Amino acid sequence: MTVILLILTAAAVGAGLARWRKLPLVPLLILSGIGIAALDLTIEPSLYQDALLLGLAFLVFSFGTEMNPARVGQQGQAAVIVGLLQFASLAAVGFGAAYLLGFDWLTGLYIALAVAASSTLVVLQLLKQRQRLYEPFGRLVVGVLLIQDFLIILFIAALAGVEQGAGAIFVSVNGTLGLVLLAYLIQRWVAPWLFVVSNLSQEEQLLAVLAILFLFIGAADLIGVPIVIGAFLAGVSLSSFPVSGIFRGQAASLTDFFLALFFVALGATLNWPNWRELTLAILLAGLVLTVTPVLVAVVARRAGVGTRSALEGGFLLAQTSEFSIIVGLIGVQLGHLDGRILSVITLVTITTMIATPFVATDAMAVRLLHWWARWRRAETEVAFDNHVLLLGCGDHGFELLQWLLEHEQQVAVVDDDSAVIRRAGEVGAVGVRGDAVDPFVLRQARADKARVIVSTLHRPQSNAQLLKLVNVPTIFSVFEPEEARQLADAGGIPILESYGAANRLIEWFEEWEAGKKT
Amino acid sequence: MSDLGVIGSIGVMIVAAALLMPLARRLNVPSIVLYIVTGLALGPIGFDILGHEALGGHGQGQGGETAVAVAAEIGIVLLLFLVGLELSLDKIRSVGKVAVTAGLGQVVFTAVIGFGVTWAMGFTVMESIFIATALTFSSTVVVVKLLDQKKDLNALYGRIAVGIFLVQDLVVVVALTFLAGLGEPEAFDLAGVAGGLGQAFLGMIAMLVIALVAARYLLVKPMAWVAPSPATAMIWSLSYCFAFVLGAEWLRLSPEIGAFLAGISLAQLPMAHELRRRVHPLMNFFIAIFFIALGAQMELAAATQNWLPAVVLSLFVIIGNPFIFMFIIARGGYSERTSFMTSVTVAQISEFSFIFMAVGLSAGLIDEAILSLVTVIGLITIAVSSYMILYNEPLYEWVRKWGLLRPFRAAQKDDEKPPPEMSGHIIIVGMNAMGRYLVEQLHGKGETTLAVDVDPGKLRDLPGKTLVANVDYTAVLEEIALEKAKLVISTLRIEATNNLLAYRCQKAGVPTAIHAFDASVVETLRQFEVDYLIDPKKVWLSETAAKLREMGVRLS
Repeated sequence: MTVILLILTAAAVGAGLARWRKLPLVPLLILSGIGIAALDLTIEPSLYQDALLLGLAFLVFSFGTEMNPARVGQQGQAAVIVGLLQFASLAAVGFGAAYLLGFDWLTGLYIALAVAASSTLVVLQLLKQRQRLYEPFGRLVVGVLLIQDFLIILFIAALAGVEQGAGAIFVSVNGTLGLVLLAYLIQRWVAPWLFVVSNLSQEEQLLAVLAILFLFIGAADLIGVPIVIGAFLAGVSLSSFPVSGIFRGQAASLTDFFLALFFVALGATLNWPNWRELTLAILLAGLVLTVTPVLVAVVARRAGVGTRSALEGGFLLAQTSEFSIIVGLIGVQLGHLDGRILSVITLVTITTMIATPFVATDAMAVRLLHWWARWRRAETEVAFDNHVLLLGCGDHGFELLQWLLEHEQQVAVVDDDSAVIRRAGEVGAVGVRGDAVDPFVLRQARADKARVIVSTLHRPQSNAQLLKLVNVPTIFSVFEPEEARQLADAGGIPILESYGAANRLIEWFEEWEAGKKT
Repeated sequence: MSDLGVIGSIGVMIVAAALLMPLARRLNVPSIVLYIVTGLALGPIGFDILGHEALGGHGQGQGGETAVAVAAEIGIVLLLFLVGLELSLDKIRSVGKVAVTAGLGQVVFTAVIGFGVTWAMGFTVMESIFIATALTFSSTVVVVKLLDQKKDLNALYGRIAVGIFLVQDLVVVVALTFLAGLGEPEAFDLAGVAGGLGQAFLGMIAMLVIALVAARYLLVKPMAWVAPSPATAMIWSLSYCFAFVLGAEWLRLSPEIGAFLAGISLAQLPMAHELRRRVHPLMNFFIAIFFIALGAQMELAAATQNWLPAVVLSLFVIIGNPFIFMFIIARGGYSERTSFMTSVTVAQISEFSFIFMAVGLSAGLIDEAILSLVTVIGLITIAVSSYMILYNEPLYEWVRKWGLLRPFRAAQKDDEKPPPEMSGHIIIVGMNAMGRYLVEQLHGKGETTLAVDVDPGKLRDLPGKTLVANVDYTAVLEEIALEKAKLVISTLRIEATNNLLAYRCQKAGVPTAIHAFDASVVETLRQFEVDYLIDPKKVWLSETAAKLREMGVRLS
């Protein structure tokens, strides 16, 4: 009981700090775990180990349940390209760094795998906070993460057999593929019947979900692959809709609890690395923070993603994953890795995860966007005045654009996505690629000579900044009444779409009710 | 099970229970019985799959704590924490008097009569003392689990039952002190017992005061701050709960009391119900381990020796205990129905009885046959009373029809009316700008509105009904009376939750309006036949066009 209280209290402190400073949860949980280890209470280490194992199983299981390709939307192809290239390049970088510092090849392989993927937990939390999860950009990033998680699981299987040679790798990978097949069969035939057709009570549902988890773990153990693979694939077998939705609430409670348990227990059991290992940690953290943004930005641009999104994506993905720690943990359990290498991996993960919210900011993206723009000549100039200037042109903006063009207006469009600019050009508008609050770009678009500006930018800061830059009637799309008030005070014309949409809903509802009565 | 350790043992337990589940469903077996039977099957009298070292002792001493034993104890703690969260102090206080009289009265009656019956059957005095004590206590865990499953914790009879168990929990503490004295007769003196008793009471009062002061002054602000992040709120309250549990252990009270008091002190918060729903699945997981481990540890080696006393004493517990209760509670002026429902809950002996006997065995005061006897009684009474509690309505009707309750001359009125069910209301999920505006407008038009959000702060100052909840949880659907709603609106910008809500409304045949905040979510929502897609961008489009016209942009 004392151990549970200790772990929970540490978790409470960590989670509180994370919420207070708006930092990712995982590194703070680990740090508070290190904190209780530093208190030097004589706790039976086996209890930490048990907590660690159980936590691991549930955590990886919950990652599995998130594996739903539908979440990637239309961004599949770009996600595959970016995901694979980032994974391969960073793995190479990680292996190289370990090799240079004189670590053996097996350690190198584990480190390669540990730095190859980005953190689903951290990135999703940030995307949610910034409400960008469902934009094409967000979906692209989610796609990248899903692919990387899946790759890690496959490579964990391969690494498990690596010491015994090719034969063992073959057996291990084939065993994993067998489990993948089982997961597919369950997802397709068993789970829908179990959770949708049979009318299980909540308690029975939970029992069924847990039984599937433990069956997969048992099967993985039986065929000799690491149990995380079983736990992950158990999650995958329950990841389809509506099955995943039906037990999502219950699973979320268990995940939140075991996630805290796992990372705190992990922190409490770490060993201090020596100087050479510390150097490796610093080197790796530096590499992840510098190589990933550049690499992802370049690759994503090539894959047809807009410049700004590409830059933001790069920063957002510049951290190692919770899976990195799991990779290290498995290495230690299999006797492949020294416990201190796990500390190195954890250290890299803590550092890069904590850095993410500071690096992946709007300001950073805007600064780089300007820097990037300096290398290109102005591509287009707007040659007319008295035009309608559209800032940002997503799906709805495009509808407005077409409508304006139909009514024989001259329209200029500013967007940072080249595909959008191309499409605007095709229908007869003049497109300027760049950031809408960049004075240089605004001059190109002759914003000061425009008759009216329509902004679909959704960041409050950008809109406020825009009003300072131009002196033309500007229409905004706004969701929050507070923001609308501020923009109106600053001289803008806000359209409060939340209230407007609510009013239309009420109109529909009243008509519908009247219709019901007659 | 190679080197999987704790995952192996827990996995075997869960998988075995799941395999037996279809059979249990067919036979309408309460889940507690399913778990205990699973435990029996895995234990030494079954296939003997779980090693003894995996289970550890019944919390005897801290040294041998295994992960499974810890998990089982977490189950009990969470269960009582949930009970505390469900009941506020007022609800307990209102049944205080009857709980104390009935709780103490039953202990005295059962102990005395139980001793007489046992002694008459030819057991020694020491054996009779032990058996009678074991028969006296009912199982808080069993009853509370079943009341929770029936959603009757909040009913009058549920509250009385919980009150009684709290009183008896204190008696258990006293009994333990007494037992410690029996174990080492030379150190035994009345002053020691009185001291233990005093300490228990003072400790209880001290913890109660701390819980109330915390509830009133310390918890409100921090919990309001953390409420928008439900996962953190859950971790905070669990850590609070376990701090109370350790405090209780330190004061030599039971962990159950600590957990219960922690729950009570959080119960006043606006987020208490959401917290309850979050902790509930965790409790279900850990309590399953508790019951399975309980079954697996049952010592039935010498069970056949005493089959007749086992049957007689089981009948005594199943019929005699409720009889005594029925008598006391009916005297308290409660209705026949409430008295009967409460009485039925005590018709079993406690898991604590096994511990009690095990301690007696290790002290050399009784032999294995007595332990097995009590185990058999426990098995029979827990199984039978589970059915009695789960089916207490038909049982009541049946007993009434045969006129068996007439001698008690209880009042025939109804003690409480069930709260009126919601229907024809409009549920609005997600209190962002749009959600709040909708609630205000619809309420202004005379509709019954129910506003739902996970963050109590966003529900503040709203007209109509409000509920702190996450609609992902199946348990919420009943609470918001989804099936009876006139319209369900979600203004959330969370794709997964919107899809699930749309799916559930489609199944329930309830009209829905869902926020289509991005073009990419529309297709799925259409599949679920959402009646109205809230599309703010469409509004923006038409209003922007209108504004442009207004501003003189010529649109021919």
